[in-house]
Amino acid sequence: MNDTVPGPVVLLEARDVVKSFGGRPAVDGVSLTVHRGETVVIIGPSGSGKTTFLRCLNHLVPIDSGSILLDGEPVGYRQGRRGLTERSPREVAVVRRRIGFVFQRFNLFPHLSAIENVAVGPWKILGRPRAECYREAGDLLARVGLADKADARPAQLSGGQQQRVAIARALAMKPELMLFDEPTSALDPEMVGEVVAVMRQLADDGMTMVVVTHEMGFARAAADRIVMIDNGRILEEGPAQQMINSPAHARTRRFLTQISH
Amino acid sequence: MTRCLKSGLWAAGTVLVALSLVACGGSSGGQPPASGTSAASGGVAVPAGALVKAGQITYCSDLSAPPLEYLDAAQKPAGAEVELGDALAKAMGLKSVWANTAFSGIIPALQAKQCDAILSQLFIKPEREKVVDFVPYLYSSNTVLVKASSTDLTGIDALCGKKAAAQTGTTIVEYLKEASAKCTGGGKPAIDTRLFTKDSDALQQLKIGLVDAYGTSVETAAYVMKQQPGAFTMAGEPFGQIKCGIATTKDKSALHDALTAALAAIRADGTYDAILKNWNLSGDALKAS
Amino acid sequence: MLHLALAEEPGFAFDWGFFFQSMFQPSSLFLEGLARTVYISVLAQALGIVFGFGIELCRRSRFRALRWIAGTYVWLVRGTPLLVQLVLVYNGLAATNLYRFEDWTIGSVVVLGVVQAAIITLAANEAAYMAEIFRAALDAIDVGQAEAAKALGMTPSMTMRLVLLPQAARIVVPPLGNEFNLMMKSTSLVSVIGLQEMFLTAQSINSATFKTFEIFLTVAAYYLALTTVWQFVQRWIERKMGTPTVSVPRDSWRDRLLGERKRAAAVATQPAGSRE
Repeated sequence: MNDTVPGPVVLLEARDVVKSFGGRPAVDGVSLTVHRGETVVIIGPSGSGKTTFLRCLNHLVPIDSGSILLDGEPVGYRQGRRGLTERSPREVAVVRRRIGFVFQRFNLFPHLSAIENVAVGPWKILGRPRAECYREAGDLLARVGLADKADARPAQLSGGQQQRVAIARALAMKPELMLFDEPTSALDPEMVGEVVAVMRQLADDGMTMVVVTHEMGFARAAADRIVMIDNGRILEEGPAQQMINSPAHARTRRFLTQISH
Repeated sequence: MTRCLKSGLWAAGTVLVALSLVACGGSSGGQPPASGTSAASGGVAVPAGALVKAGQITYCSDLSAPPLEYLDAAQKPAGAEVELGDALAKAMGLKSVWANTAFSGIIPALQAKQCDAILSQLFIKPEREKVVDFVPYLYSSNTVLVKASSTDLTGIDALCGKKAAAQTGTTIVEYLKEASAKCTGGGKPAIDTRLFTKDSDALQQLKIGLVDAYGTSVETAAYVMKQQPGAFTMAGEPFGQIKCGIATTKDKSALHDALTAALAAIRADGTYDAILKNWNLSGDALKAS
Repeated sequence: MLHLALAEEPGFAFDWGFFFQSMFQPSSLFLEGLARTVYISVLAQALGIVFGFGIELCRRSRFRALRWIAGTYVWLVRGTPLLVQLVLVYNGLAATNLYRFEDWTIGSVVVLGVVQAAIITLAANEAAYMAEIFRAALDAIDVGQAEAAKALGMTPSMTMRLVLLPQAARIVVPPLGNEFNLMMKSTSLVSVIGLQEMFLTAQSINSATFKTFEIFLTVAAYYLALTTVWQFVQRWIERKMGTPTVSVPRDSWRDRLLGERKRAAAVATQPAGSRE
């Protein structure tokens, strides 16, 4: 259980999100409300649509129908007279600056050093002064435990180190919401802990997070709510403790047993 | 290892065969030899071994300069010099074959034995006489052709600062260079001379108006003016009258002598005059010796 | 057969004096042709890279009209011979009175119309090939890179400028080297519109001196010298762009000339901990 108590303010509201690929719905009417400061963990078997749903939240994947509102502002779609129209890439880019995204495969920029990766967002995107951006980038790298690797290129870092830099890079934009797409699935087991530690600290500090993961250790320690998605739909959701200890559905119970090994 | 060697030898062998077929083909510039008149006994004997291929005489000629030598609508060699060449071949009892060769490389082509003789309005000049033997057969002169509207261009000396087009390797290029040197010597801008592989390309530049003058032989100029009456005029009088010769390499004196005899034969029997009259070139005929 | 001809012909002898003189004491006309070849190649290639990138951007545009125009351009230009394009642009446009290339005087320098036409046509031709090269380079970049850029909130132009183009630049250098090598030799084609570059100059000298073998061997040597210089420049560029973890060792002179290259070796140990 994390330390801060989430307030009642709704930060993210996804309603009846549908996304199909080639006729088959990957996300079949999923609704999710996330409050400020809340940490929501999404679990489910592979192919359940949980990753697709997460990517819809910051419009990396455009939705077919439904609505996604960040603090009341539609992400990706404008509410026009005749329903939803897709916003211009520039408008979508502006909204995305308020959402941080951490990828399964880190996706660090290989031609930049660690500190350059972290500083490029505030410096080039937000247009803040270079010295300030680099100073803050240094602080962020220290916060994730990589102060001594500031000038290293991603190719010189281990997977766990790269993922921590990726988290720092996302945090540099000072987002209101952080999305994590299976952040530890591509790591060797001995690296998982260092990344999970950073995520836990983030949750404790009050960041609003939506995390797709199999790491039940993180869920147990930091999640406020757990959502189980299967076949593109929410099977079950509820407070973390309740979901872990006494899930209602047999399917949920079976899944939790499988991933808790 | 032996398998590699064998396939290597096969490959080398095929390449050598292909190369020999190309090299001994007898024409340059990618044009297949076009056949002329068929042989008939003409009375002038050509010793064996004088020709690249027995029974035929191959002429190197740049077939892009009407009315002397060019390719007609059916892409067959035509023109006054082609007819002369065919007549000479007939007198020697040979078939005539025409190898279309770029003028800029015509003497080297002869030296490389791609033909027996050059018949291409080749002016007899000292530096050329060092390398080949000539059988003089015709007079020619140079001239500069301009658009009829260019009334200010009265001669080659009026071309300072203007653009002129000519074929690479022709004598008019040297006249243009001399005139250009005179221009710069007198404080005026030089003549911008553009060179082209084909004489007809140089003419096209004038037609399109990309150059102000086109330097060529007076025969070609007269032909162009006849094709398009009123479009062009000659800038000044023709100049540099000079003899044209049929060129053979220095070691082919037997062929040289045969050609001389054949020329005498066709002049004696009136063929020579008839051809020139037909093409309006009687003014260029060699004086009776 | 060439060697048989040489043996039979008593008059033929390779004029070594003439050859060495042309090689090492070239006439000013020849040097002018050489200079023209160099600056036309460089300018045309540089312009071709810029236009080519622009065309590739159009092909990735949101607007279908731009995509169609760019695609048609690449198809047309790559599908027709450069020689034909040169004649059409310089002679054809003038003949139909659509456009005439006039000489420009900029300060004390005269830029001939022929030179303008040559550079523009060569550049336009090169652009079509560079567009394809950029396409391959951009497609080769992992799709996660663009996603990460988007997720940070970069606009499409920021993504291209900050993330994709720097990575594409590295991939583009070897095929670009090929293209420039070809470009330097393609300049010999501009002789068809009467531009006095190295090849046409050699033809003129050939018709005046009849020393075909010697003069064309000299020209070949000069082209070889140009392309070899470029080879060194390309290697230098590749070394400059290499990442710090992948060192590109210096080759010995012999290796460089003969084209052998030491394989780029990774300096750091392979990063541990990434499963994929």
